[in-house]
Amino acid sequence: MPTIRSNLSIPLTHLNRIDDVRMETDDVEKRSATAFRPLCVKCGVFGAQDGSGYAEFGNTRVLAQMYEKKHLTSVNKLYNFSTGPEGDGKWEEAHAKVTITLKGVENETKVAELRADLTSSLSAVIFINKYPGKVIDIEVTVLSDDGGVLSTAITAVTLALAHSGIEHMGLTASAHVALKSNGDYITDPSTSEAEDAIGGVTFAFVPNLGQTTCVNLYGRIPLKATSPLLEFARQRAIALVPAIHKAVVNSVKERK
Amino acid sequence: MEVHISDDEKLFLIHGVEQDIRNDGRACADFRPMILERGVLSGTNGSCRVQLGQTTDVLAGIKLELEAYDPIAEKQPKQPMSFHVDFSANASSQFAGKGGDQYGEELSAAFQVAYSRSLDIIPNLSKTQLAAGYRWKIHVDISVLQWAGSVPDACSLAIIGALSDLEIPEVDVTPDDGGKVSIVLKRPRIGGDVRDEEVPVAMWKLIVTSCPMLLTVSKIGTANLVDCSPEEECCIRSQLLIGVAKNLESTPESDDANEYDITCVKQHGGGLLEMESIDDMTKLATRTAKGLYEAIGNRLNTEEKRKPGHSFLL
Repeated sequence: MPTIRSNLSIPLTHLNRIDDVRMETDDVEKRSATAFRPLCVKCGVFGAQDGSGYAEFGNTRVLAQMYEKKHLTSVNKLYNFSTGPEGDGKWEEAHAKVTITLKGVENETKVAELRADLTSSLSAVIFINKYPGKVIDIEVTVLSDDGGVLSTAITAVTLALAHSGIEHMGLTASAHVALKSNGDYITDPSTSEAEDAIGGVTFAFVPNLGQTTCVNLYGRIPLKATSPLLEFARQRAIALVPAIHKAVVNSVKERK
Repeated sequence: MEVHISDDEKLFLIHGVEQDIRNDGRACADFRPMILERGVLSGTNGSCRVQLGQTTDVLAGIKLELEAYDPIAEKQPKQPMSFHVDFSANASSQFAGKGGDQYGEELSAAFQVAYSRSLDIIPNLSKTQLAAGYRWKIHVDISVLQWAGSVPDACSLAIIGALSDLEIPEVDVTPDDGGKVSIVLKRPRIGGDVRDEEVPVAMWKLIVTSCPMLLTVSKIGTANLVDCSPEEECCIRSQLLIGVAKNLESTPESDDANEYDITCVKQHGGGLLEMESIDDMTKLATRTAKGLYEAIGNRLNTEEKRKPGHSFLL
């Protein structure tokens, strides 16, 4: 079996190592309601291949990679997407098909849920009519899950999309917010922080258009608390936009 | 069956719904006529069949399992229901072969999320917890026999019907050797020369008046609709799957905002939505759920018991 050399290139200075022990200490409990966990986002983590993104929020780490079989040498450097692992080579519709392959998630129900949300979110922003008959396959690998994996995956996928050159409506910013029984919000909670929450939401939207691509609300939330929760999550997602922009700009600089 | 309509037909449909008039004469918040029958499968502990508009046809069956689990590993009690949705290949040409498996898994996951807090929502569900390490596991299997739009809504009603039909055995829990417990079916003592094995087991039923409902609210043009037909589904800009549950702690005088809780919201099938649209769609789902709760309550109270041995096919 041929081996594939990986050119994973995330400089160590870009990563903040978080000890598992430290995540359980008072430092975490003192985090304000609006603060994210320490995060790292990288656009283009494999030097030799286009279309990869990495996102890390606390101990939740997700890697996204566009899957390609052939690469056109044409001047416009468009991707030539052939069928992905789930395709049967017979997609002949007048628009592209977006498929997600998930790895690193053990629970089958969670795989189905994440796949549905990611496919829906991605299909909304890609100009699928510009790629008729093609299958766009994105491989999402959850390296570790400590809460907020959907939000982290959406961030990684949007960075991979930006790096790939596929035409789309704009970057997607997403945030995961939990709601406690006393009405307090927790931004980007870890699994332990979200244990006593009555529910939460993963909210993703395109800042260029001001429209949402993913709303994933869970738990048991009173109807009157739903709108304020969504608005709070939107504000938190807006706060991430500069970080995502910077990651994309840095990837362009690295190419040069 | 897949429906292909021309761009002109789509435009006609969109203009109509924006005026609150659908092609079949309904308003945007109206459901098609529904048929609900319980006790249709004799081999299950609870079953229900729902037809929506005499086209969408789903069948729900429930089986019970006595589950042993490790109480030390599970810090908080897990809700005991698991869902599995299966699309029959006959339901639509798009589900031929394994075409419906992925959609079935996604719908099962959505129901799992909508019912994730069912221990708090369904008043007597905690009675399924028999002893430390033992509980009744409720397996809900839904088969979609015919697809004509609005499948999550039909499945949701079928689940409530099946849960109301479900009979759970009463048990006696006694300590046993080795720290374990012995679980025996409870048979009420009656006098006379009747053997214990011939006495029927005492049963109890779940209170389903507040079971979560998973409703599909679709955006067509600037209008929000429920219960879309296949033609309307071709024109959808975006869809939300919204789980609504009645809050039993609310008083009769409370308004909708206090009477209902949201257990699940999922944006489905792509598309973009404004924040205001999400708010409007959630309110429409709540209004619709209110009407559906009343209708299903009336139906469950007035339905005649099905004669044993008669299949729904007859």
